[in-house]
Amino acid sequence: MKGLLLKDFYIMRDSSLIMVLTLVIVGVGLAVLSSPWLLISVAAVSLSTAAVTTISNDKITQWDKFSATLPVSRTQIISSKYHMYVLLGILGIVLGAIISISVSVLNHSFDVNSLLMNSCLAVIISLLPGSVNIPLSYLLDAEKSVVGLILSYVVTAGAFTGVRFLLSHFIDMEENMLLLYGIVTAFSVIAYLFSWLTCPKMVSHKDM
Amino acid sequence: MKDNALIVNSLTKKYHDFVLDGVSFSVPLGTIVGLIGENGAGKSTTINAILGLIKKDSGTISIMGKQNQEIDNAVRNQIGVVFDGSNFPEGLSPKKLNNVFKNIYSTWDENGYFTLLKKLTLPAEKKVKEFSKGMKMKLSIAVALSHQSKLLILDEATSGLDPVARDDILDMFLDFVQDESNSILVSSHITSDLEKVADYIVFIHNGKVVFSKSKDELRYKYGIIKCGAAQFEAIDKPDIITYRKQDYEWQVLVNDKDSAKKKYPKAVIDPATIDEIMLLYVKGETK
Repeated sequence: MKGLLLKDFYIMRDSSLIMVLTLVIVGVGLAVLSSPWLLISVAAVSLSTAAVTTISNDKITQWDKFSATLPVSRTQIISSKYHMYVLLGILGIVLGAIISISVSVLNHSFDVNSLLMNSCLAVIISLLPGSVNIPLSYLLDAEKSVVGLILSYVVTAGAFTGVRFLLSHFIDMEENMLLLYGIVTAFSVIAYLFSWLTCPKMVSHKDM
Repeated sequence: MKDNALIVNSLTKKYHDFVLDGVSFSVPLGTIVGLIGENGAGKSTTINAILGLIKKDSGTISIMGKQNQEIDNAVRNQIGVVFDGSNFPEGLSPKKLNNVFKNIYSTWDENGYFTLLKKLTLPAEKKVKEFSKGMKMKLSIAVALSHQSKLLILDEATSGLDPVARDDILDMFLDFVQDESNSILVSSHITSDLEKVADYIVFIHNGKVVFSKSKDELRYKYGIIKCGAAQFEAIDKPDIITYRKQDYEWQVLVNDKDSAKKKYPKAVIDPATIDEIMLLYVKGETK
């Protein structure tokens, strides 16, 4: 497992300069034009999505086929992608939060509610798409991986809207936004764990 | 069992347009077995099934004496695999691959790997994407040889390479089997390569094993009778494995050229190359 994670780390490190540069530009832009808190989501999504791109990269270079002959199970290989995705998502949230807190303190606009809501949003828009995008990246051809990416965000938007619509029958949404975010966050975590448990079993039986 | 690194028995895999039909052969210890056949004959499907990349419908595969579910990480540590083309992420250098593989193979030999890189004049710091096809193949073989492999499985490892690179790689195969506990299964449609190094030839055609014989038997016993129509008609049916008519000449494959020479003294009988045998089986007819 460590070797597989290391391989992905090396691949992503190659494109890290572009990623950091993008985060800095987007971060500064958001801080000036909108809310610096959005940087938490941007960082989490950018970093975790990079983990998914390694799946199509593995297919293009035939590493997926070669790695299936290594002394690691296919379940472990697929699991390593879920590990990497979560680790990078957490790293993105932490980095985004540090920068956002720093900017908001300098702006005198820091508030805990915004930090919590945006952290929840970051978890939602990284874990929920990931729970769809990772299995689809394995099941679809490398050329169709963008379809998986689009579909994962459609599912995320649908799930968010659906939960909001359901809850609106019982509570006032405007008054309880943090609760809504909390519930969808919990749902995202469950969906991701479910995907993590089922995808390796499902994909490892697939012919290469 | 103990004398074979690999035994494939009645391996069957059905696709909607192709069937790998009861393939059986073995790779004895200390030998190189060449898997030959035209494109789409079933060579890669056989290798993929052996490596567990595809699920077989029936049959048994035994590697180092272990079958199916018993083929665990300990067994996989002893199998070196090389596929056609690049096997590794293009952005990584051989040095970084060393860090990756030493965390994957429990038997990874770091010193041996770097020694091999030097021997093969492969730069350790250069990215794989900057390598030529021959260099990539040499790197794949260096990796396959650096974890105390006992069995190498190579799928079209020499295709697309220039003769010099191919010769280098074939020399490495021969070095590897100097240790009699090591074995190689190599698939190729370049039969001349296998003619140089293989001890046994397994010929697959339309998903079936046509023959599995020692290379020496094929080279020294098989022959091609080249004759005209009248002489062809005079040949006994049981002597003909397969035949082919080309312009004004008939080519007849026989499995014992010495006895054919005695039986048909006026006929011209040439030794058969593996290429010619394969062509006659694929394109020829049976009387």
